[in-house]
Amino acid sequence: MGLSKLIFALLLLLALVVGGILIAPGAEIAAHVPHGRVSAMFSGGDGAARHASTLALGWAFGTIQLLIFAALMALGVRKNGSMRGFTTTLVGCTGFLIILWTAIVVTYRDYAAGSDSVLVLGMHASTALVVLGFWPLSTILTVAFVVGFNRWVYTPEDEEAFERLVAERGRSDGQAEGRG
Amino acid sequence: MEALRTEIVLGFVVLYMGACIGVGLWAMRRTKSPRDFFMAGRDIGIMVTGLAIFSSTMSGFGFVGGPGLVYSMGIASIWIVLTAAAGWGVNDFLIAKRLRMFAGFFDTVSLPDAVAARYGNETTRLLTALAILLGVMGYLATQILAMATVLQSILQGTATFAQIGLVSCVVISLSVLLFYCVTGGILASVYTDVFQGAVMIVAALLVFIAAWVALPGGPTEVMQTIAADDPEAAGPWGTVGIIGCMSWMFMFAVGVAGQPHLLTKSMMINRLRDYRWVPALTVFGYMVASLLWVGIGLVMRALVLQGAHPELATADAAAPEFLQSYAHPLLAGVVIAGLFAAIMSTADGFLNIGAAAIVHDIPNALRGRSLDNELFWARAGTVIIGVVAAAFALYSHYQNARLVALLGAFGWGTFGAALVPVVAIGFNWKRATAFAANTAIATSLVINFAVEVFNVSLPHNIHGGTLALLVSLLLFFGISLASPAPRLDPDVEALMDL
Repeated sequence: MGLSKLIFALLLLLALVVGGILIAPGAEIAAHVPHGRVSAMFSGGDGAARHASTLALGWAFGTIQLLIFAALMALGVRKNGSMRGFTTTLVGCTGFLIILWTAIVVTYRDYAAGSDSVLVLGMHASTALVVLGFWPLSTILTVAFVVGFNRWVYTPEDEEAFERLVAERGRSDGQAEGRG
Repeated sequence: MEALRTEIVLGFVVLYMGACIGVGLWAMRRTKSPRDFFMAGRDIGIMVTGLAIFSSTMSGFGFVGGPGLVYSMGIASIWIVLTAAAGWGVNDFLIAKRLRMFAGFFDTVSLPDAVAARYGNETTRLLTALAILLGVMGYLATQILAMATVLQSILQGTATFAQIGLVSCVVISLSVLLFYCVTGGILASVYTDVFQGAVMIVAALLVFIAAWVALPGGPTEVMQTIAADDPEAAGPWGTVGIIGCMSWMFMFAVGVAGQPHLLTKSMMINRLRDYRWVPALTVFGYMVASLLWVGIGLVMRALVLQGAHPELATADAAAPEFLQSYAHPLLAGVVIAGLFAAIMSTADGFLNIGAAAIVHDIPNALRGRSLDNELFWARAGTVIIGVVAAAFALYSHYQNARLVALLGAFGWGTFGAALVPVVAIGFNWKRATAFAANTAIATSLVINFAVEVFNVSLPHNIHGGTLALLVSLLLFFGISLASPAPRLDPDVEALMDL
């Protein structure tokens, strides 16, 4: 299966999950409610109750998205030549993120059930995993881009080929103008 | 010094606006052609590109609306910050190289130009330009209103301007914005972005520190206070819930690849190989600036819950009230200047791509060439768009509050839904057809507009923009795969092979 077909399949899967969410019961208690005491503030209410029918769907919603991000990155990198290291890095990072995402959902389930395990800075484990685990995600992607740019994104051969194409176009435009 | 707070803040704002005018005058001498006006001659360096993209991403919403969201919904809106930044990471791999190649090879001056070159279809160019124009009007109107409101609140604190009206403040702030955008085009825009980005980073860092020391127990006390009141607000998806946060993730992480004001700036770097370093600056700037978003929101929520600060009238008052009550006057001055910087750095990019749409892209799509004396019309177009957007903003403020909200609906979500398939996927996938691109753009506009007009609220907090993006992507892939493979221009094929 080509990468484009894989992305299409993942999008169809995502649509299926979104469809499941749209018809899931409990929509009337899913939204936050105005804070009882303070105006311009909301409360989440009973987390376990309002996520009873959507926590697993939410996990699937997030997991499929992580797979789509990985597939989109793969779609963008160069088509020819060395992809050494890219696939390993991509699969490794995506796998790590899915494990992290699963841990967030699982620890949240415990939190919503009343667990008060505090990890760091007053945050429950699930929140700490989001803040401290997901926050560096963009940094990891950026480092991968900087380190892998010359190998995966724009190689010296790409640069040479691109400059050749531009030069050829310049010559043909010049000839066309000359004829004109 | 406390007695002079208003004067100090006003001084910083005047200094900031003076600097913007100075950059406009400097850039005017270097703007000699439409290519200079719309693409900065495709000759800007790493630092300028990186900071320009970052400061355009973080609009006034990030400095006012962002803290307001955290104040009202707890941790939830962190998902917007985290995923927009991560989206840039994905976007850099996906589209940055390809767009810059098309810009250099076809000598394009706008995103619709590059789209027309890729698909060889003028309808696709027209629809892309129309989607951009609709979004620009909405975004600009809200940014102009925000700029004027902040300026009015500052000036009304002085004895001389205590009675100043909103219209006067719109005129003052819009004049500064238009001055540097008209004289210096996108060149002035990107160089003011550098200055604006630097102000935003400094402001965010200082405020973040001030926020955490506002409570004796620091971050731990903040989180414990919020959790004791409502555990969900301190949980990983705040009061919005897991589905709402995942819905934001899709719209912001994937949608970033469809933001025309950001994509256009990524096409301006002088050498493609230098793009390697751009994401580092963009992501660093955005992550630092977002500390203000998260820090102020959480601290103000905790302070109000503890009773240490009076209730806020609106969530958007979180940042202004924090600055008023807990920030040193000098810091407040820097941050207010940073707020203007955030608003203007986004607005100037929109003014420029909006002008390109009306004087270059739409005429090209309809009659096969752009307007004569394009540089003059580019400047005139910038003024027209600015004035029309300001008129929309004022009309909405005084007569019909739904108008800007409706246009505002053509914001991030609509840009994402309309342009991600066409640009991010289409520039990497030879099988994509022009018909699929046109259908995706048209459908996404209809869905987003319908959701806003009919005030549709989807179950479990799924955002309308998320649905539009998903439908648009599915149609784009589905129609392309079901159609015969398009015959590509050999140059386009060669570029897509690299």
